[in-house]
Amino acid sequence: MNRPTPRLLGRVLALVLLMGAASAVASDRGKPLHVRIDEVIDAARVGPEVPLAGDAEYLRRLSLDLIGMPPSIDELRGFIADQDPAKRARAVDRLLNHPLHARHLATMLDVMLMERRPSLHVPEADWFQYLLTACRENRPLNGLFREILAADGLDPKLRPAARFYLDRGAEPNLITRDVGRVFLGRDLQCAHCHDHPLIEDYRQADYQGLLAFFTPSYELIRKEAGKDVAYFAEKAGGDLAFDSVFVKNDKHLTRARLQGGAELAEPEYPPGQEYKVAPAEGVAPVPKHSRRLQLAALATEGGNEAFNENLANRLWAMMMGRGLVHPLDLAHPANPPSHPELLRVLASELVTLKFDAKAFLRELALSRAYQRAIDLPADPGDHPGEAASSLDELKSRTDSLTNAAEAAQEAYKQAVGAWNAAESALVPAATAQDQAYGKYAAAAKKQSDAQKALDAHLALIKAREEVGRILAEAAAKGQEAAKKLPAEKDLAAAAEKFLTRSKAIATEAQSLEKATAGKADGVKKAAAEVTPTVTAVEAARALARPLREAVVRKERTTLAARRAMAQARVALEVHKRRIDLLEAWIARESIEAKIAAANRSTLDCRSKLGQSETRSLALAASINARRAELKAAEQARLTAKSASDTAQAALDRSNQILASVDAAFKATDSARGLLPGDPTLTTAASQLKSRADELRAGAKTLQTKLDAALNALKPPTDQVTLAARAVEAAIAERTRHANEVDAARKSLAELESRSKALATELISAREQLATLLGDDFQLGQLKPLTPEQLFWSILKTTGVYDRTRAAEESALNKAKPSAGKDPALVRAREIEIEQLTFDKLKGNLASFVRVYAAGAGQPQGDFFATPDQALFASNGGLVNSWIAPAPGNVSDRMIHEPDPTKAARELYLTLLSRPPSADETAEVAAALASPAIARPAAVQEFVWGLLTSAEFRFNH
Amino acid sequence: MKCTYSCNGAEHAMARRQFLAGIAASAGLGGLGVFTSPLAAEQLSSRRKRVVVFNMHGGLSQLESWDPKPGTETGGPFRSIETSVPGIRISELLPEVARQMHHLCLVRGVNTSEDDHGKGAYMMLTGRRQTPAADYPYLGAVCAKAMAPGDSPLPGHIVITPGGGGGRGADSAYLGPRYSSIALGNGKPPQNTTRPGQVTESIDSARNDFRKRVSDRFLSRRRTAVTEAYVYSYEQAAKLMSKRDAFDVSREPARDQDRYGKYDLARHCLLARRLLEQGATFVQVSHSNYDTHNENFNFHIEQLGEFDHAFATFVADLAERGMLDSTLIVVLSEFGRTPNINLYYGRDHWSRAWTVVMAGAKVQRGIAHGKTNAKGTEVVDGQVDHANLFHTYLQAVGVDSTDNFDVEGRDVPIADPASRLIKQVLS
Repeated sequence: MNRPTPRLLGRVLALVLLMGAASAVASDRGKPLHVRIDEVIDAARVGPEVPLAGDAEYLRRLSLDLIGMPPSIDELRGFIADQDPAKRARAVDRLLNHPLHARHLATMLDVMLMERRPSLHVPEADWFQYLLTACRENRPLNGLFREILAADGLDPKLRPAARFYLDRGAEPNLITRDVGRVFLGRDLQCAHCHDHPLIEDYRQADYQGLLAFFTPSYELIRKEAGKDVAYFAEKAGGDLAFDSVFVKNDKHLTRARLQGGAELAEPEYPPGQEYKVAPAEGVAPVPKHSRRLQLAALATEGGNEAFNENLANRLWAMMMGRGLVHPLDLAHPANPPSHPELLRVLASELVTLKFDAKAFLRELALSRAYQRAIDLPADPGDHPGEAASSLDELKSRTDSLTNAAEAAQEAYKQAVGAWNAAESALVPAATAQDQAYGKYAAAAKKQSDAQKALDAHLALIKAREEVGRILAEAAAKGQEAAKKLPAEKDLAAAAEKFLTRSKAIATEAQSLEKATAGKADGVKKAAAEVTPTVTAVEAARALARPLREAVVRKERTTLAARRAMAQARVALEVHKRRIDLLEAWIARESIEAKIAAANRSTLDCRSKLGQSETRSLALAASINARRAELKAAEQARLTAKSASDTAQAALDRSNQILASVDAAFKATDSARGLLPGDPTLTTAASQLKSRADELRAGAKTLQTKLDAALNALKPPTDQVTLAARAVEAAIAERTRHANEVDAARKSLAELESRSKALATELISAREQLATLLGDDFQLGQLKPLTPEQLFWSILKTTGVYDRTRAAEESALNKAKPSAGKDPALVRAREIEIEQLTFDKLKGNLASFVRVYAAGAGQPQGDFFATPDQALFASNGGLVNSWIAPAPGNVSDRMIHEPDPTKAARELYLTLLSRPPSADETAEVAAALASPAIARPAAVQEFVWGLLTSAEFRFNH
Repeated sequence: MKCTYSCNGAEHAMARRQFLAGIAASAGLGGLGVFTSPLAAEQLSSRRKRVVVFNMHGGLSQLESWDPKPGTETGGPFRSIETSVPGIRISELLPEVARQMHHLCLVRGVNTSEDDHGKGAYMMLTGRRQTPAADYPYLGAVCAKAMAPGDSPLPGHIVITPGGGGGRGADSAYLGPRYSSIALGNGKPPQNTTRPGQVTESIDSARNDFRKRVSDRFLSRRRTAVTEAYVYSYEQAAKLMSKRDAFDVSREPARDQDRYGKYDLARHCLLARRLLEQGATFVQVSHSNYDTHNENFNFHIEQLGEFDHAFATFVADLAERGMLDSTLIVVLSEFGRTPNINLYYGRDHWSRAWTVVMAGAKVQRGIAHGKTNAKGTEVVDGQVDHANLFHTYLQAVGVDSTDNFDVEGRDVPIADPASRLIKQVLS
């Protein structure tokens, strides 16, 4: 895979520099269009090339785009198994020649041209048949569109073509808006009453110039066989005056003007000679110069850039899911094509191919751009710095491009000023011309009224004379009869009456005859009055002519300035888009770098935390050890204490005894004092004394022992204090460490939440990048199925289509056995079977259109999803009845397939045109194996789930 | 200990229940009966704004209703009566409404200069004159876009039609079908909101689970705004199904059903009340048909008899339940009827001097704005048109009608930028 290295940035820059100039690509004429498409797109690529879609996905995509429904399971299996490297090209050719391709293309044209408007004057069926026939014959699209733009509905063969105009109620503003949108790629509606408020390039003059093609046209209703029949008739056109509702006293004049060109020169016929067939009651006039025919010819002959680019863009969008210019009806320099160069190539190639839709679509289908997968490639994740510096380089050009665009705009504004001034000079002359023409028209009307009066008068005379003649004849015959039958008095009387009456009428005629000369004079006089008005018109025209020419010259200058402005603006906008794309790329890279960094920090933090946790355990153990030591020290102290206590007790007891001996001695001594010399007493005293002495000596020993014991108590006491301190220290250490661990945990949590936020950011950055790459055709698009594609896809995958087709084919074979193997006959038969199948199934199409299509007359390209659609698919009778098991359909096949793996394969290949993954197979197999669910119910759950999945709803 | 934070207040609890009801909808728990008591309705009332439109189809006669001219050559046979607002008198055909006048605002100076049914209806409901090359969204679509919460289980734009089927209307123009009306034909629930017989609840939930898994696998490859919209449409559908009872007026207390009456318009009014209480943003009720070129007076006795009771009950209920502050009520037609009485005792189309009625939200209570002359042939004071009214409806519920919608990246004015609201009728 390539990397977003400076090389690709170089390409970007090269493209920017090449803007507006003929590039190397454009000069590569001999190459097939699909190669040139990829060259342009590759030249502008940012990042690695996206791989092509796999075979299964490609065939589904191609089938939906060319015949409006997915492939059958057999086609798909055959295609996947096919080893021919040219199999994709072969599939393109096969599908382009499929009878359904014509229907698909005709449907696309129908929706594009009529936007599902109801029929007012032209039956929808006639119109569709007209388009379908054109597509079956692969008629050049410009020829078809020429007929549509030229249509007046008078030629019975081309009457359906008039639907575009007639079913828009022949309303000139509606027609102008839609011709602008559908044929020229520009929605000029907001430039009707003033220059477009938001789009600089949409000028009121553009709108009015286009409108001028249609203002001479009108709806003519004629009673035919008791029914009102509408035609789009046309009179001779004149100046169309308009002014901006925003600017006071700003009168402009225009005649017809086709997008990108100056006001069209028109032949000026002498007053009264403008028509091949003059307007009259119930007559469709035929002007010598028809603006509508001029539009039809000029737009479609291959020389009008707007027409060619619009059509190329719309065919491109049909295949790619998005226009190079997008929205399709919003072409202007501030919304340039993604690849201006490519649009030019496509448009010119469409002309070279003589507007052959099939040949053109074939090239699109063969391009790698068409075949791209929809998956965003993995990010290589390095060199963000280099990309950023290339971005800087790109950005350094922004100012000069902006300046160039501004300068070009200024020049254009000045040119517009000069043009408007020339126009202002023309206005009085044109008004005078209009007034002169008005006088002529009044005089001509007078003349024609006088002529009419004379004609009526002569006719009256003639009628009277005729009556007189008949009466005279009757009188003569009556007299004859009266002669033969003289007895019949009544006869003679009647003859007499006839005679009298005929004479009276003859007199009356004669007196009428007298007035004839006067009336004829009136005609002459009126005619004579016309002549000077004609001269006056021609004089006024002569006065206006040089002024008109001046306006046209100024307009040409303006157009050149406008083109220069457009080019500069397009260069700027494309440049900005490149920057956006590169920034999106860098954004994703930098987010991924941040994620990588965050992941590293997380790892770090985790390992530190792990270590800390080990240390926590060690600290806990140390506390326990210190506590044990304290306990031991305490024990030792207690032992020493107990020894010292014992010594103390011994001493105390000895001292007590001593005290009692001393007391006894004292008592004995006192008694001896009272009984001196009592030997017993003396003996006792002496014994007591010696005992006391003895005891005293013993006490001394005991005291010594006690002292020793007290001495021995000191070290363990100190030891206890020390050990207690050690415990305290260990606890403090653990607390300190625990705080550290908490902090580490917190920072880990922070890192994790940051990673989560970054992951979300990455998702949106990826989506943003995918959108931009998709818009740049470097990545496949998700294309919502149109209502028709959805309908036929459901019928196809549920087996309804093939079952119906088989029945129609067998019925046809019975009614009209096949005529042979002649390819033309075989093809005709294929088409006939397709038509029969369609007719059989079309009844339900309307329900789908009602639910899935935008409203009549609204743009049909914008996707929308509403709950009523989901309810229609969930609870409506159609879808639920189609997924029910029926002979040979996927539900039926799954029910009868004993091997759940095979059943899963049938399911996915049929519905989604791809084999299931292992997980998907397991999921299906598990449900099929479950005794809790009846197989038919389970199978229908699966079929319904796939039909309503996003994967089915979109072409990808 | 009981938490006394406001987040535990009844109103908030209500909001949470509503929210949870939305979430739980797909799990089959439903959220029904949540807002059926006046108390709950009052709690609801202080927040989201709602709009209900009574479309008097065919062209209600202002002279037999809001702007009577008894005793004049154009006045017809009916008298005018006192209302609950001294000085404002309306036709005797609206005795019950007269007692609710203190809630209402009569806009008596409407001049729309359009006497065609289709064009007049279009103007009154879009606030714009119909032009061939442009199409504008109806009030309901505008309200749905500007006011309805994105996660609302009920459609944002509901139209109760006198009869007919259901389905999606073509009335959202450039706002797109998401905001098109969902029709309740004669008050029936939206189409396809019940499972077909063979699809049991467990089958339905199993197949939807499978659908989600398949979609999720696919969307892990590529996810875009349109895929999200598609997936979400099924969630919304499930919510709507779980809220199906919201459309079932028979679940209203029997006492209320009796109070409103059993006829269609009465049921539709009670259904409108129910829907508003269940959180609907915009409900339109139609009463058909007032196009009385013949026998104008007999027809109005009949039609307004139905309207008077049902509408007066509706207004009184909303007021009592405290919903009037958050609910805009509009009574409109495509136009009024001629002061001149034709040979067939009928009145014809008349758009030059007629009346629209508003109530609730920021609309002033108990006033009559604008005035027609003695015979009702001209507006003599406070003249307004469809565009002024459209601005006023939106401003009354807090939508800045001078702002733009963003439609696929294009700015589109919400209401006619060349027009403005009627300041005098808002408080």
